[in-house]
This record gives sequence, structure tokens and C-alpha cells, in this order.
Amino acid sequence: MAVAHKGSISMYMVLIPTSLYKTTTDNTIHFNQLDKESKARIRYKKYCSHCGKEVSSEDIVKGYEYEKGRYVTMTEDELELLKTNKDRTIHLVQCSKLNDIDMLYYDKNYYVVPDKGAEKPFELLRQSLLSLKMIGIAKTVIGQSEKTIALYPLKDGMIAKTLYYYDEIVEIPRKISKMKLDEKELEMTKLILKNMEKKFMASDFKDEYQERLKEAIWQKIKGNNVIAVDQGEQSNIIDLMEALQKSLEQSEKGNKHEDQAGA
Amino acid sequence: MSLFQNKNVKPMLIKNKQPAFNDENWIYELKLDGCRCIAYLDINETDLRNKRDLSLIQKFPELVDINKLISKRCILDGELIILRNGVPDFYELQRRTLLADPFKIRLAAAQLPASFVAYDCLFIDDRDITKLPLMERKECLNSALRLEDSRIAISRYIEKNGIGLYQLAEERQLEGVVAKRKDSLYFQGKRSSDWIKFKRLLDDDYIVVGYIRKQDNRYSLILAKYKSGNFIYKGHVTAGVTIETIRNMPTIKKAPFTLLPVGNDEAVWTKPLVCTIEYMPNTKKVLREAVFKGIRTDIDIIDVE
Repeated sequence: MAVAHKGSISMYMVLIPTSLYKTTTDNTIHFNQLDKESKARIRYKKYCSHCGKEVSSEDIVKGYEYEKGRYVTMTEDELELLKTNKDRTIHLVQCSKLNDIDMLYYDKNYYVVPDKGAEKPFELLRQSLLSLKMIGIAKTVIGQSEKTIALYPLKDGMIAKTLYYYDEIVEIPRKISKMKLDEKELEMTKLILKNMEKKFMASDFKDEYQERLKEAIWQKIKGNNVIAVDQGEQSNIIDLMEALQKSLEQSEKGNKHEDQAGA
Repeated sequence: MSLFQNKNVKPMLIKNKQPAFNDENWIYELKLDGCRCIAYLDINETDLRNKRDLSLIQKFPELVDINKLISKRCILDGELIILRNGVPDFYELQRRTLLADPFKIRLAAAQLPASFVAYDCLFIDDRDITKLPLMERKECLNSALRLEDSRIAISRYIEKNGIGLYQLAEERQLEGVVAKRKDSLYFQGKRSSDWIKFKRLLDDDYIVVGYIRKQDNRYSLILAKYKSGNFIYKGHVTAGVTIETIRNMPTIKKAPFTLLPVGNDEAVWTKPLVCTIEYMPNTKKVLREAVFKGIRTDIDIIDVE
């Protein structure tokens, strides 16, 4: 698994070198567009919508449409000046109670893994947070963007959850008014739900379309004999090693016979 | 905590040395061109780790069940290989370690399944046996496996005739031979002269820091080593480099060298990656007939000195 972010957790006077790894993988099938006849890849050409001439990346600038059809442009240099100083350090700024953070703020997850030699300070941080039932709130720069992250201690590790910013969360479109409920109806509904109770197993839930798609692709590849499903034992590393062993033994025996014949 | 629970075993390393020799106090086994792998095996789980202690099992799902063939909980040291046309193919193995999509991994595993070839046993019967002599560890290794199959095997060795085995390996274009002292102990992470390799081609790890596009649409990689926080320029390699090699390299703006070496004005600088370079053995420490063998993810840049 590739490291998604490398940076030290900085708390108080201590630096804990860590790496963040993704917790998820993209499992969906991606198709390429091909030409129907030649089966070659389709490529895009960029052209100017005004004169139709093809443009290359040097001919392209970035523009922000502030009004229909009107743009302010920004050069790469101008953007570069505005970019956050690439401070990859994970600055611990405060600690909060676990349930201080509304679920709505959680975005992506990363595994936090201490680098070699940093296991002890990491463990101190993890165990302390865990026993205090607290999470660490930290700031860092991942890629080009400034992120707020929550360091979430687990029994056997730590998760970094990137948080949405306050102004990224939108209001619920319509406030739901509280209804007066009949006690009996409530008990009845609770009973029905209780009957549906089952321990949640993530592996029970699958993207069935993707499963069928993969199976269909698998079958096509097999049909084309690209995959030799039954390889048998013909290509076995043991055979290779033993063949060399035998041929050495035989040549040694051969040599001995020659020696004896010569003697 | 025991060696087993701790994981984090650092494999003992092998010294480069030519030429091959015969000696009764040594054994000789084939050097298989793959990826060093430590296997932690018990009834419940197969846990495979590379040199950097990163888990490999997601990339090699075909090896998930090799623990079914052991007789006791053990830690085995060995090589992860993929056979192609009957010989280990490093490129296929490297391609697999770079795959991330589980479906692509499943396809690759069906097409060219990997095998684990064990040559040492470090832990068995709840005991750290690294300080037993090699030949006793080899016996433990034999007792650790109930059966071999095409996914897990024990490395075969021969006694005395190192030169003969090396010649055979050379004939078959295999990577080479490893010679080990019979009484050698296992020192984690140490490069010991008790383990020596005879190789047809030598290899060494370098850091790719950029590339140069040549006129005939070929590419040269710019190589460096790392020393106390600095990149040291080491030259170029062109053989073995394809457009596929450079296609996915993330580019960066600045050269990693404070003084730009001559002939690098046209360079495109990339995020540093570790790679393996093969070269013909020679007495000077230069890269003769260097060939780019592939990017490797099991080594940290700071370890490429």
C-alpha cells in the first residue's frame, strides 16, 4: 500500500514521525473508451471554442467565471504565491471528547502508522487518548490542501479522519417538526424494529452489479484463454530445483566413474 | 512478546561476492529472482511481510492458504517468486506488487500465481531459533511443513559443489547461487559474510530522481544515492527503460541536487523512487552495461546509500 501522506505528529515538544495510509480501495470496474473498429484507445483533443484551433497545455490559462461569459484569469505563478507553505507536519492543536464532533464533519479515513523507531511515543499518545476517551485535533497540509484532522485512537492502532470545514456543511433543507406520538404506537414500532435486529457484518453487503460485472469480464477473459486456470504442476519451482540437483549428482557420479577408470 | 507476536523480523542480508567456490563447510542453493519475504504462519493466518515489514497478502491472495500446510506455528524466511516459462520472473512479481485493484490482482493471480520458497526457519515450537546453526534450522524448516505444493516449497540445497551449481544456474539463465556456512547463525538485518551470493549479473538499488527524453524517443533515468540527507548524483541508465516506466512518475519542479551535473539541462525531475539496476560484474565500482530492472516499493529511499 502506498503512503498517502508522510509527516510527523507534533505535540508539545515531541515529534512522532508517522505515515498515513488509505483505508479504502477503489473496487469498481473502470472502462476505457475504444474505437469500435480498431479497438484503439480514444484520446481527447482540446480546442478553442472561439476559433476551433487545437491548443496544447502551454496555450491554456485558468479563468474564473465571475459573471456569465466574463472571466478573471490567474497564472500558475500567481496561484503558486497563494499556496499554503507545504507544511506536512501534523500539528496537534487541541484535544476534545470523542462525541464533541458531529458525524457530519467526518470525511476521509487514514491509518496512522508510526515510522520505525517512533513506536514508543506513538503508543504513549494512543494509550493516553484512549484512556481519556479523547481525540486529538490537528492541522496539516495533505497534497495541496490544508486539512483539519481528528486523531482517533483504536484498540490496535490509530485512524486519522479528515474533517469538513464548518462552512462546507450545509443546513438541512427543511426543519422537521416534532410530532406528538402515541405511546402505544411507539412501543409497537420499537417491537417491529427489535425483531429486525442482527449484528452488523460489513461483509454481508455487496455491490451486486459490480460482482456480476466482474464475473462477466472474468468469463470473457477465460473464454479467450488468456487465463490458464488449470496450470497443473507442470510449472513448479520444486521441479526446477530438483532437476538441477539431479543433474549435478549425475555429473558428479560421472566424474567418479571417470576417475576410477583412469586409476 | 515473542518473535511471532512482535512480527517486524528484519531478514539477514547476503554479501555480493564472485567467483563461486567449493567448500565442504558450506551449502549452496539457487538464488531465485523474486522478493524477500518473511512468512508468519499459524493455524489461523498467513501473514507475509516484505523487507520493510509491510503486509503482502492483499497482493498475493493465492497464498492465503499456505498456512494449511504447516505442522506447527512458525516464522519462515524465503523468497516470493512468480514462475514464467519455468523460471522465476522478477518483472512479473514487481508488476504484481504495484497493483492495487483487487480484481486486477485476482486476474493476475489466476494467470501467473506466485509461490513462496522457504529457505530458513526462525521460530518454531514457540521458540526463537535464530541462534541455532543453519543446518539445525534447515531441519526445523523440514519439520515445519507437512506438505509442499505449487504455492509453498522448501528451497533445495546441495553440498560442496558450489561451482557446479553456479554453472548450471548460469546455463539456465537463472539469477545465481547463494552459499551459506553450515554453522552460520541468523543475525537479523545484518549483512553477513556467512551468506554469499554468486550472481551472473550484479544488482544494486538506486533512486530515480528524474528522466531525460532522448531524440530517438527513448528515455534515460537519472540515478542517485542518498547520503546524510542529500541526493548524490550517480549517472544515467537507458536500457530497460520504456515509456511505461516514466508514464506514472509524478513530476516535481526542483532538481534534488544543489549543483546540477552536466548533461541534465533537459531533465524532468520526479518524485524520488527506489529502483534496482543490474550490471555486469567488474573490478571498478562502475555501472557497466547497466539495465533498469524495475521500481521497487519494499525499500525506503533513506536506505539507498
